[in-house]
Amino acid sequence: MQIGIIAEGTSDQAVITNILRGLGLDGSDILPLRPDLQEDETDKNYKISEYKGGTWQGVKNDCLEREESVFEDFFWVEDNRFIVIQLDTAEAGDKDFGVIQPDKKAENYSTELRKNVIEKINEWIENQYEDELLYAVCIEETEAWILTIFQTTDTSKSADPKKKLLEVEAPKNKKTKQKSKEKLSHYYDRLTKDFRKSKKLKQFAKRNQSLADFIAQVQEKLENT
Amino acid sequence: MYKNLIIKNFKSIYEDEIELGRINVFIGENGSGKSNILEALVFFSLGQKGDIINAEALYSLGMRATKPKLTISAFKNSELLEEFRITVDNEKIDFNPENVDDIFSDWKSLLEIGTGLGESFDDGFVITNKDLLAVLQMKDNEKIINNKFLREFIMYKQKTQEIVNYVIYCLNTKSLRGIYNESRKNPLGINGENLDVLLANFDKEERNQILEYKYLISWLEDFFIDTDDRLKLQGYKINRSQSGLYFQDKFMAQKNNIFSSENSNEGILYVLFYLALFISKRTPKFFAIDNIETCLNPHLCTETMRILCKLAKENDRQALIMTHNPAILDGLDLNDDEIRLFEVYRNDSGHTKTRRIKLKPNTKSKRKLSELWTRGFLGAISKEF
Repeated sequence: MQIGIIAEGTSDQAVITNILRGLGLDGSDILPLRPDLQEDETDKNYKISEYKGGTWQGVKNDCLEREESVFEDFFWVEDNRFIVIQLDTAEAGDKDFGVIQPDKKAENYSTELRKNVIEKINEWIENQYEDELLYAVCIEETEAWILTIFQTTDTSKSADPKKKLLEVEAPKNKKTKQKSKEKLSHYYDRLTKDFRKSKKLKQFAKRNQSLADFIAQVQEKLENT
Repeated sequence: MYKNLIIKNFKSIYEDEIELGRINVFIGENGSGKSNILEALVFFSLGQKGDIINAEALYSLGMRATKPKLTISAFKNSELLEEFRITVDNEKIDFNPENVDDIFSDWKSLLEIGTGLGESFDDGFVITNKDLLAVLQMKDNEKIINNKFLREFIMYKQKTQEIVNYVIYCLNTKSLRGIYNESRKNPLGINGENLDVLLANFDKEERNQILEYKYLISWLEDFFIDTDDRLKLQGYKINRSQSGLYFQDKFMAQKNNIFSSENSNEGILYVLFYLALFISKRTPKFFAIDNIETCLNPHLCTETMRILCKLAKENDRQALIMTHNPAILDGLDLNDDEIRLFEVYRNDSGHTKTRRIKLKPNTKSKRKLSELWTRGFLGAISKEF
C-alpha cells in the first residue's frame, strides 16, 4: 500500500506522515505530492504565476484540474494507492470556498464541519475517486492536532492553536523548541514524533474529534485493504 | 535468464527479494542501496566460479570493497552477524570472512545446490569455493560421469554459466578515451577500457548492427580503428591515450574531419560503449551498469535506453541498470513484462527494499514516466526537501 499526501503545506505533510506511521505504515509507503514538487524555481519566482494563491486555493486547483494533475497520474501506478487530502478549516468559510459553517457551540461541531469540507472536496472532484481518498480535515488548524501531544484537555476548543503551540507550549521545553535555521517541516516532524507510536496516538485522538475522525477513516481503509 | 534474486544481511540490505526481468532499471534516492544490489551479484559470481574472494577480486569486477564487518549488515539494535547470503534462482551461497576486521581478508563461500536441479537430487548439498576450484581443475571425465555429486555439479554449472562473467560497468571518460587503463577485464574494462580493441575485432554482422545507430550522434560520419597507429604521428592526438579509435565528422571538410577518442566529444564514447556491450558476441550476457546516464543529453538517454532494450532481446542480454536521470525511464516500455522498473528505498529501519513499479494499461494521464518520477508519484526521491 502507498499513500500520497496533498496538503496545504510541507509542515502539514510532516504531521500527516507521522500519524500514518502511528497507524502502521512505513515512511517509505508515504509519498508527499503537494505542495513543492509541482513547481520549479522559475515558477516560484514568476510574478504572475498561476500557482500563486492561498493554500486552500492550491489544494482546490489540484482537485479541479484532476485530469491534468495529481489524481490520474498518481493512480496510474498499479498498487493499492490512496491519497490523503489535508485541509484545515481556518479558510473554509471564505466566499471562494463556501463551506457551510455549523454552529460553533453545537456538540457535533467538529464532525459536522468535517463532513461539510469533505462534501466540498467531493464537489470539486465531481465525486470521483471517493474510495481512494482519505480526508485529513483539521478543525481550525493542524496545530490543534499537535497540541494533543502537549495538553490533556480537548484541543478543538483552543482559540488560536498555532499561537498556543508555538508561543506557549512548545517553547516550555528545550527539546520541543524550534532550533535556529530549522526548516518548519523538519521542526513539525520532530514535534510530532510521538504520533508514530500507536498507543500514544490513540490517547492523543481522544483530545481532538477531527483527529479521531481522520484516524478512524484510515483504520477502516487499512482493515478493508 | 535469471529470474529471482534474494539478498540477506548484505550491506544495507537486511532482506530483499527481486523478481528480475531482462532489463531491470533501478531508481532511488542517493544512498538508498541501489549499488548494493548490483554488488551482491559480484559476490555471487565469484562464489559460483570458485574463485578466491577478496578485496582485489571484488574491486576488479566493479565492487566498492569494504571491511568485511561493513559488508555484512550491522543495523542498530541487531546482533552482529558473521555471514550474509545471496540466492539466485534457488541457488544459495553463504559468505563469511576469515577476519571481519581486515579489508584484505579472504571470504569463504558455502554453496548450497539443490532445489530444482533434478529428481535424483532432493536434499541438496553444500560445497566450499576451494572444493569448487578443485572440481574445475579435474581433467578425468570418467570420474565426473560416474560421480553423482559431480554430475549434479555439471548440471548446476550449465545452469549458472552466465553469472560467472557478471561485472558492474561504471564508465568514466578518461578510461573510454584510453588515457586510464586501470581495468584489465576483457573484452571490455569495467570503466570503459578496451573499446577500440573490441570494435576492431567486430565481424561484419556486428559492425553493421552498430552502424544502424549512427544517427544517435548527429555529427558522426563513421568511426574506425587506426590499427597501424599512424594518425598519432600525424598529430591527431598528443598521445596521452592508448586508444586507436577515431571518428569522422560529417560537417567538416573531408581532409580535416578526424577526431581521436582522446579529443572527441564525450557522449559518443559512452553510447558506442553501450552499443558494443549489447551487440558484441564476446561480451557478458549478464551484467550491470551503474549510472548509465553519465554524459548523455536527456533525449539521448531516452533513445539509447530504448535501443538497449531492443538489443537485449535480439542479442539475449540481461542487465541490471542504475540511473539517476528521469529521461532514461522514457525509453522503457513498462507494458512489456521483460522490461522492469524498480524503486529502491530505505524503510524506517534503514533497510534497503525494492518495489517493482508497474503501470495500469489504461490511463488518461498524459505524463511521461520521467515526469511521474520528478513529481514524486513513483517515490525514489528524497522526502527531506
